[in-house]
Amino acid sequence: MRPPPFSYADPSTVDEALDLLAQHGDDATILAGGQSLVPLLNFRLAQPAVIVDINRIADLAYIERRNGALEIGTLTRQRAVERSAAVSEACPLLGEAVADVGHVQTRNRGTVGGSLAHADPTAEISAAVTALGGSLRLRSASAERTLTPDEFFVSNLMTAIEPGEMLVAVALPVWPAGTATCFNEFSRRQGDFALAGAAAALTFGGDGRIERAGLGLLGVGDRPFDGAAIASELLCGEKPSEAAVQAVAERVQSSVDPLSDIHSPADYRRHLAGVVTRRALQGAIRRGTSG
Amino acid sequence: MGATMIGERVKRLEDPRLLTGEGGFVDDIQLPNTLHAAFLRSPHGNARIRGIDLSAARAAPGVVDAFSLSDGWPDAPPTIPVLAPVDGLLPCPQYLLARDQVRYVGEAVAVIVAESRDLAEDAMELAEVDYEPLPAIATMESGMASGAEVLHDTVPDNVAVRWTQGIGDVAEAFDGAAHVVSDTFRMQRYTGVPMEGRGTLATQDPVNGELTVWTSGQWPHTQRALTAALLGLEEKSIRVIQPEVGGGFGVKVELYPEDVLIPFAALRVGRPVKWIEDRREHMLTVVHAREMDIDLSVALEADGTIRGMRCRLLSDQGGYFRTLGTVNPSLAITSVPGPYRIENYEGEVVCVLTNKSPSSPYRGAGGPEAVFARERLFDMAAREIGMDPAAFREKNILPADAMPYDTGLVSVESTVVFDSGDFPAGLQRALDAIDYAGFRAEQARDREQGRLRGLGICVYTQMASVGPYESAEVRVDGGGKVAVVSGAAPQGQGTGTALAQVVADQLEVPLDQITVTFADTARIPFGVGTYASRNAVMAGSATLVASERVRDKAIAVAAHLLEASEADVEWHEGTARLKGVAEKSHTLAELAQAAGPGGNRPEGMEPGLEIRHYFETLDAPFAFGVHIAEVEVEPETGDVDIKRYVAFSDCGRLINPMIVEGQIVGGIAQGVGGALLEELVYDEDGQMLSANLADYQLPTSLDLPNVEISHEESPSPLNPLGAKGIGEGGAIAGHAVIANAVEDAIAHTGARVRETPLRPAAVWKLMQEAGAASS
Amino acid sequence: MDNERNIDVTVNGRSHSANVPARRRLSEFIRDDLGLTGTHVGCEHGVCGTCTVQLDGETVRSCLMFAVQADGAEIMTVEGLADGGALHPIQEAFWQEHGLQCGFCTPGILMTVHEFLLENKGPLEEEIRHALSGNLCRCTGYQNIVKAVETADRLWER
Repeated sequence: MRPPPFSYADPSTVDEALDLLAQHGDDATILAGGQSLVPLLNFRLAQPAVIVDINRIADLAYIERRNGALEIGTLTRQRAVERSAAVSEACPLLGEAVADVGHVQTRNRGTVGGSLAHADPTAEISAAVTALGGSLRLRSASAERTLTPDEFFVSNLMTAIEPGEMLVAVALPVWPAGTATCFNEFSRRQGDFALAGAAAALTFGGDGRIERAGLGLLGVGDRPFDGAAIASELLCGEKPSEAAVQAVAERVQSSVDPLSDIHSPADYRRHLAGVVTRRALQGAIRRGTSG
Repeated sequence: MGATMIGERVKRLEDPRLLTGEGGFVDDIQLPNTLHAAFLRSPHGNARIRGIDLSAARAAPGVVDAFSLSDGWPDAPPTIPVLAPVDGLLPCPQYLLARDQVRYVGEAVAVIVAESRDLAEDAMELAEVDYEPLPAIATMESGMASGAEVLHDTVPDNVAVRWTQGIGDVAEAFDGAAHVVSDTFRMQRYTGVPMEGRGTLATQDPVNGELTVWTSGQWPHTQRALTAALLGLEEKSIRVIQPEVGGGFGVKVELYPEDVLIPFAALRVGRPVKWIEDRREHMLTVVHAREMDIDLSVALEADGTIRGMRCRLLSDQGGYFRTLGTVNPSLAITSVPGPYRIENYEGEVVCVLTNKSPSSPYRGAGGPEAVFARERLFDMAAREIGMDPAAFREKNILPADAMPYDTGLVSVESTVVFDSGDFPAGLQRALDAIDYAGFRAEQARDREQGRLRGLGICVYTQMASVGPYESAEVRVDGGGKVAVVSGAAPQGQGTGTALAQVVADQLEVPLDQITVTFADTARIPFGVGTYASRNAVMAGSATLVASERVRDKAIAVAAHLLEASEADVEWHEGTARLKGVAEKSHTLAELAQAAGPGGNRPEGMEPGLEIRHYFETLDAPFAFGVHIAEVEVEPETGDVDIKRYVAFSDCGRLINPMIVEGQIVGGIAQGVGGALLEELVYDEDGQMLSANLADYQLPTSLDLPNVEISHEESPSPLNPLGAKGIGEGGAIAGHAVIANAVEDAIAHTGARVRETPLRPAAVWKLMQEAGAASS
Repeated sequence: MDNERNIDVTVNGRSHSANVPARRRLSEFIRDDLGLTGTHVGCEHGVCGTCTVQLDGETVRSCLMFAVQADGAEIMTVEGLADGGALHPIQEAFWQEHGLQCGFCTPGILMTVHEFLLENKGPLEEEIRHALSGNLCRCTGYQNIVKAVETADRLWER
């Protein structure tokens, strides 16, 4: 298991990186934390001619409040998110989700943008970004655009990133006061690709009614499942109830389209979709109503 | 000091070098000018080879050599021999490289030798093999079906061998039974997966022509003999050295094609050649184990007394019969009755060929499979006749006064005779340790609250060592330092420490005066190796006898120097002294000097304070144990959490309880892994879907319990140490006990556990199906 | 755009300068170029944790990094733990508690434990088991490794 030969560049600015991507197009692959790409290289399942290593671009690693959102640079290490006071204050759901990504040793290198761009449908960060209604900012040498998760995630390991383009940041709207969130996933072993997981965000009004709901699932299809519409329809405007939570879980369960693999048949994943949805919503309700 | 070193929890002598990164594993040996090999491997489960073209690979940068079987052996290529044959075995051996057909994904087709592994792998992409894919046989069932693709012309129905064996009158036992309980159990394919894969480095000495082979193995002397035979060389022209080995668990007790091909390549190119197996190669090509389908029946009296048993066992052997292919089914079929009084038993073995990596022993070697089926069936039988599973076992377990107990069964490795032990007392101790009665009361109460708690019991015996011999040499140098050399070939068990304790016990010298080395054919001419839990018994006994004789010889030298009779000389803290006259004494160093060539020793005495001993026996001791596990199953996910785990063991005399307990817990980890997680999965085309460590799931620190251990020490009468092996007991019991506990947790739903691994999806399905059936 | 690079790294306090191909992984650089063979390689796809080293004080899988990426970094490997002949308290604890058998996974585990104990004093068993979950051991069943971490926590003044 040795990586194939490749040409290597480690630009120190975003513009340089984008120039390289423009120049090499499809032949180039971006190396961020490498926790997904390098195994593919080692197995020779990926054989890029050019690797553009963005680890020297210091400008891409940041966590900042901008325009009512928490913006996270693509190169921000997962471990940094886990430890960030800004994240735990403004987007605790992301912090909770990140803690379930791999292990400390992979989070020390693995990046937020790398996980998103890899688009593994079991990725925790993707589910959290989906639940919170985040936006993904892409740049190329000539243009910049911002996509919703629905636009960004195309299918298993496929995103809307075009050759020459790069994911430079993700922006997570900071939900208002009264918001409670919870991340829940089920995996056989800690650090595994989860069998299913759910990220839930609920905003409670002063009267205890749910005003806004976000829900993102992982592992239950070929890309993150956005359950916000279901959760909003069944939860918003009411005080939280077991029956409503159960109704969301059931609706999610019947709406997802899970895949089978050697770890789990599709029907079990479908069942788990309901379980993790309920657990995540219950967790958020508990946190949101415990004062 | 005195005779106290045996039984002490001595810190291991091996550890400082391993803890500081100084341990020398095979890939840590870096010879100048080394070339690196990569293997071109079959991407097909079953395919005919129409042609191999290595010309582009040979021309690639850095490539020094590339060869296929016909390049290496234009005439009559050798095949890997079967070392433990049984009557009727049809020939289906493997060539060192595929000849005209590949029969499993990963089978080696050609070797590429280059200046670096990177370049060898680059060149591999240029090699061209013209395959004609054939239908693959992915299951034993499909292999035995009429009209199935035939994998070897010599084996027309894909059954390489079948045999039956038994004792008593089984027909009568079943005819007269009050109850007959039967079921079919399936244990999945899983295997050792040591953290260090295989690896070999070979080089030829330019001066004397000797071929030196460093290999990550378990039986260097056998490897030397087989390598010599396959390459047409003399044994004395090959030196096999096993350096530090990063785990083996049985899968390195094998003669792999690569073991022979790397030395062969080194001879071809005249430079050192190294090959380090990568993880993908490991999963695809290491010998696999377990995978048996077992039909088992038990005939009972009305009170639960066992009248007899019947077993039919299908063993998936993969694409070829390799060196030890018969061992798993043979040990399984003879392990079915186990520690119970079963006087009528009949077993049938059917060995089926499929398009998978060949099968061979892995920790437990047939024991886990047989014990899983038996202990599962006994729980089902007890449930069916309304008896408590512990009481069922108490009724049928062999009493202490039955020892020694000859089961009348013989495996390819030994007769099955239980040499010592009090089995009922052990069962009681384990039941007490878990508070069996208390648990049952809590279980019923918790079930009403929706909590699914279960308790599993597994009672087992284990063949605890195997002959025919092991070697040890104990030598004292002129400085009084003791060097031990053994033909044993451990992989991290701490055997060096145990042997040093045996020597320290006899010679009464501090452990830091003793060094132990293993597994080098140039240091000791004969040796067998490390497998079948044999080190303590075989190498331990050889070391004990050798060190006793060294002490006797030292006393004889002392008597000569002191001008006294041997009877008047006593051994005291590493010195020989005249009884009652402390100042009339000689140190071990003085005695070694006197005993040396040219020294002042008794007339007629062979020079040198050194003894080499071969402990020879064909009698295998049997260890006994009872494991009890408590689990909780999460109702809505099927997730299994191990709450408590009690392990009672009787492995005879303990040399180092700390090491023994490490073996017990380590074995349990592998049994639990098999019960809950691990599986080598092939699809219908013979492609492996678990050829990496994300998909082949080894247990992590969060998946395993803290084991509560207790021991009894019933010395074995079969060796001077009184020892029995323990290396495999945990792997044998750990699998069955978890399966039993899981069923116990969900049995009230009607669910029955017949196969493993019990991943959450599988447990959930069992509950769903049972629930659907009952509603 | 390069196929190889000159890099400068500090490993266990010693600086090294070397020319490496771009595809050379950090694990091979440490083992084969620097001869520090205490760091072992177990899976080459980032699951087993055997090749764990510390890069600028944080544990990383050295099979998932290229050596060129370590240019300018400080690396610690298992060889950097002991102080001359004296074992580090973590090593001492693993020895006392029989926290290893074959020892192949041990160097990676020691790196993980070193990082963990620097950040955690008096950890609970559950926390220790979580911290160890990214390092596979096939020999011990982890029980004595957990004990060794508890002992190391007591022995190591930090």
